[in-house]
Amino acid sequence: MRRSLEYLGARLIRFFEATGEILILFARTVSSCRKAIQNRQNIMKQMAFMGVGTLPIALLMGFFIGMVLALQTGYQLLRFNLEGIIGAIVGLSLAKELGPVLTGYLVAGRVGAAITAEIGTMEISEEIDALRVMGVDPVFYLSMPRLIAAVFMVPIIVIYVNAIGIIGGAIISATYVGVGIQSYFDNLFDSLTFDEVFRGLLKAMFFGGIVATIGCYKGFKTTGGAEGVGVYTTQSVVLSFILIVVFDYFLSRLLL
Amino acid sequence: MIQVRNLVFQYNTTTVLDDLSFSLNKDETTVVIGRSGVGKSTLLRCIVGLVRPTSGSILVEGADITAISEEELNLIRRNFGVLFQGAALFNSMTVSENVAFPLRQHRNYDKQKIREIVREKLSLVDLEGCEDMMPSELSGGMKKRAGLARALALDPKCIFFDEPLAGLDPIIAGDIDELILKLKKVAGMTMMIVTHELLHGFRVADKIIMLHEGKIIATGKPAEIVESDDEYVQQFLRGLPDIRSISG
Ligand SMILES: Nc1ncnc2c1ncn2[C@@H]1O[C@H](COP(=O)(O)OP(=O)(O)O)[C@@H](O)[C@H]1O
Ligand SMILES: [Mg+2]
Repeated sequence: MRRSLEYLGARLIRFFEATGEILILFARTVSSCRKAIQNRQNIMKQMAFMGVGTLPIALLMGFFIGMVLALQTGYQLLRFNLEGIIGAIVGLSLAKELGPVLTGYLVAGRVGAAITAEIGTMEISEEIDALRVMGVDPVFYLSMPRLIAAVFMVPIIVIYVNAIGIIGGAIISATYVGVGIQSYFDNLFDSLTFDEVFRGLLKAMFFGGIVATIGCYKGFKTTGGAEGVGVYTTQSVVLSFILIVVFDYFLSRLLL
Repeated sequence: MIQVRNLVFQYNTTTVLDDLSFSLNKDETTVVIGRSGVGKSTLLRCIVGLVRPTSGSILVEGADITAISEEELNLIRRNFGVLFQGAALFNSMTVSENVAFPLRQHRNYDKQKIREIVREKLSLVDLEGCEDMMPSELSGGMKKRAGLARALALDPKCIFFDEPLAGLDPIIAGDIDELILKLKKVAGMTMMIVTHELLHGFRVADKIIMLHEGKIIATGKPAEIVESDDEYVQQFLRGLPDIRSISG
């Protein structure tokens, strides 16, 4: 009994410690954005990596999500003769939820893992120490460009995902559900306001911030050689996933 | 130049460094010798401000670096050059970008001037022609030399070496020894070398500090260390039968 309480207590302390450390890292990263201009080369590099690098797979994902959305909802709607609202359903689901969240997952898997693996490798090979002895703050040099790039690029990717998802939905709607392209888009634009899209993008920004911050945090924490890099990279992706799910709920309530 | 006073470093509950006091002087090469795991790297990391000691102070030209902010520490560190055990080159940059890195960060030199300095430092460590190679293409000894060129880029007053010979074959290790001896001739330089290799230590040292179980068990000129009647010192030295002829 006492043992398990102690164990629980230790875990709890560890949890709060980690939360604190993540928040401190985030705060330091944000504060070093003041000097962003001095590090613009790395910011550009990260933007290219996150944006251009992620776009093809994001487009593929968006297209199929749009299609499957139209397929599944269209099939149900047909049973109730409600297929006229398929445009609204596909558009709203994508812009408000699926676009930002699934892109968040994709970015967590692709970008978050890369951030942790890269920084973690630098950590174990003393490159981070080398930066610090050369008087260069690793938060400024490594975290800040990744945070800025993620916060800007993830929403942009989401715009593309939304657009191509809507197109995918239109194709299925026209060929399978029997709602023409014209009425699909009429219905979609009737219900999908700019405001709704913008709130989805705001969430995407948050998810980008989560992925970059957790990616950097786990990278800086890496110990235990090459094996450790694998362990911490996995932890980074899993933690980003969890935080995206949780934050999605609370942000949705806040922004509803 | 650098004074270490009553330095204690604890990791979890074990005391790694236990009340060390010594100084690193100008125009002097201090070699810290001890078995693996004795805390040599930890000591070096304390002195360059990578970790904070549990207690004690480290004075760099009078300023206690254990009690100042990271920003102030960064200013002091511009006088430091560190060669890490694995050289710690940035793997995503070429050799010349690595050497240019501290210059780009801290000096407002134009491209031409930076290129000149990089070439000068690379030729100092005999790496001409390797400018555009990536660290992954270099051998262990070349990595060490490139790391040294980077450490020297800002013309530091203090240079720190962590196991400069670790993982090198004897011939390449000899080259690195020569380089260190060459650096000793630069006026006003303070050098600290941390190593478990006796022969190397005795070859380059002006002063030796011998660490055992967290404490300094012997300190002095190489010849004085050899004369020490401490049992452990003698045991350590016996691993090397002809040490007297080298230091004599
Ligand atoms: N961050 C750390 N993680 C794990 N062990 C550490 C850490 N800092 C110090 N130690 C402990 O300190 C001791 C000395 O390590 P180190 O300074 O690397 O020794 P040396 O360089 O002499 O081989 C080791 O026993 C190690 O377990
Ligand atoms: Mg060591």
